[in-house]
Amino acid sequence: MPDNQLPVASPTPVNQAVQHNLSANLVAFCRLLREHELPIGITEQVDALRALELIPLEDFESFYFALKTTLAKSLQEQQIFDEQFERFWQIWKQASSTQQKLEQSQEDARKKQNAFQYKRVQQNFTTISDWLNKEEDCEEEKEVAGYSPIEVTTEKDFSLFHELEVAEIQAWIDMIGKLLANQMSRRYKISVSKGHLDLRNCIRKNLRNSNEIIDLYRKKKRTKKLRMVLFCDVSKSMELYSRFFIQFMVAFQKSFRQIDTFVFSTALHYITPYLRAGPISKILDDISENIDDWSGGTRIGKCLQDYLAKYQHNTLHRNTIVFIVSDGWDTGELELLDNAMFELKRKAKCVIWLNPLKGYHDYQPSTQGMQTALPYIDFFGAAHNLQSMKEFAHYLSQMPLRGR
Amino acid sequence: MKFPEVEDIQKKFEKEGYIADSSIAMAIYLAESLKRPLLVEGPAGVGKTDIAKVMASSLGTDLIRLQCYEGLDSNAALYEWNYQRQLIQIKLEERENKTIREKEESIFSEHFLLKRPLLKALTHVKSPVLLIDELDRADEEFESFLLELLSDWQISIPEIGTIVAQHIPYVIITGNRTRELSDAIRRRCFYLWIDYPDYEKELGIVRSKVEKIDQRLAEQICRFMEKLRQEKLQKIPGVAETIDWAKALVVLHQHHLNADIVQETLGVVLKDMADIQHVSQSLSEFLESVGLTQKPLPEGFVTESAVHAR
Repeated sequence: MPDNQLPVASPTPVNQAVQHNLSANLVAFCRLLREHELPIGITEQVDALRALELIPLEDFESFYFALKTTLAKSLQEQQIFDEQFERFWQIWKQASSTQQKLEQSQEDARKKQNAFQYKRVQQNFTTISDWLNKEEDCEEEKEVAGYSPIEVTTEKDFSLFHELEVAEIQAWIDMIGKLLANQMSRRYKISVSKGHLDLRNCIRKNLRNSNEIIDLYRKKKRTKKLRMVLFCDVSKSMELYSRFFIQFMVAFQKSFRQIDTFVFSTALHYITPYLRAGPISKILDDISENIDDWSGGTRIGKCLQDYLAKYQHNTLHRNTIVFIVSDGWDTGELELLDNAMFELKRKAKCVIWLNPLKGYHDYQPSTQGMQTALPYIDFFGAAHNLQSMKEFAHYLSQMPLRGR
Repeated sequence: MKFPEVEDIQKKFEKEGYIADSSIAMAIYLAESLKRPLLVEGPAGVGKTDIAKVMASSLGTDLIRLQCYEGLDSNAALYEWNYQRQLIQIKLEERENKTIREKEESIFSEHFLLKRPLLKALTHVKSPVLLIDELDRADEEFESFLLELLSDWQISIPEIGTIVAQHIPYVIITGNRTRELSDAIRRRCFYLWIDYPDYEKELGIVRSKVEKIDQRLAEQICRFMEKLRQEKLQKIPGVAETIDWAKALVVLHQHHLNADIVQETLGVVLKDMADIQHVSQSLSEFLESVGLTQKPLPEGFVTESAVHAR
């Protein structure tokens, strides 16, 4: 291969590495890193080349640290870098002697990958069969687990909630809303009547007109604008709870302006407009009329991905609290869920997962969906009855909302 | 690493009592020679801030420090007018027949300008080391504001004009990862991750930082710390804690660790009630696994920790 020729897209590390021109190799290496989602631009490449000019190239350790410092810009990126560096440059170092060995190891890697995929498929299969087999038991369990005894004996249908209880839920959610909404920022804004004197503005604005300081300007702390995004699982496995959660969602919508609500089972639906529509009976009618896959299967990962693709720009930023209400039975691909949760955790202020099954005494978050999501969750709560709502409100009041 | 410039940095740092391994030395070397900001991340207490201090003294230049906090704005970071003096000036000039323009010129002159760390760093006579500490604590607005400074090395003050850096400062930015820094900041910096040191490195640090420490005690401390960091703790102790502990034990004239002295001084190492309880409950096993078995006590003698264990 001539020195100046760049390798074709996604070549194997071996033919990528066996070039003698260092800069061409570096470009190829950057390309490999980019394929592994390191955002390497021209600046980084130039930095790396300039760094290589400063070090003795025969020292492999210097070479490694120089590239690492200039190309990988976070701990995660450094980990990816380490893996790829090993693959790429070690090969280059010993390319001729070990070519065969490497092909072998690649073959192994491919086999490993296939085995992994096979396992994935199997796992999904077991999830579905488990889910189908256990469904009946689960429903029974949930009736015991989910509701306090009085609620079970009175009525299962939460749309027929006693007025008092609805009021109580609303009161708790109001409180949660207040806890979240009234975070004071430490940044200031100009205020007419309250707060400390803002000398900067006093001088600046008064001097324009006269010698005297006549109008006083003050500054007070801004209120932080927190946003919320609420995802409610309305799949079959959550059927018993979904009516309760409709109330939950309506109450949230009422006390908290900055909230966007979605429901999902196999697909994602944006329901904030319906929730603003008036009494609960009308809301229920509206929703059942417009959403056809209510009580279907669950594909949390896909639905969260849809959200990230379509809605995140308007609703998700660092002051957003993400609520997910679901039992974590995911029949979709777990990798999608993993990616989506990672993104949510990275972009939002915190991720709160409420799982009604958690109210059950020996509940273990053992479903694969739940297992996948768990590392990304800041608070994992129950929210199946009023008691758990109280615990939840307590958590929020203690939550260090600042300084994340 | 066989490379004179980097070895030189390592030696200079060691003279200042900072043990820099190859990755640290290389990152500093590249940041110094290519004049790029260096973003240093890592857990609390591993010596991120110290890098800047040691770098300043090894380069023989000043350290300018900007401690970030939530709500930090350009007034506190860049410059502020001395409003009180301006008000007095306005009063003093009341009877003079100056035009508004002249008045403005007099009160918005450099005389009334209070330089905050960033402006100080730009106008410094010799390239200083600018330490922007715990940037993740500041809000994103500040981070974006910083971007402009880090790429152009100039700032504009409306009343005076644009100030361009005469000597580009060496910039060290530290972060605890309490929140992710934006990609834009990362892209402008070189990156260095410092983890907890391994046994050898920590021993080196303790011996260079704590004079007159018994070799055996230093080894025991480092082994204890290494083990401690593997536990599930709320707040994992950093190197700073190791050094504090070693100093404390030297002051207490200890030559080796034993259950009692560990129990009594655990508060120096662990800063969380739950952690202290967790460790002191299993302290004897813990010491055993580090290779410190208790001497048999005289009969009938019961230590405080033994009562705890029951």
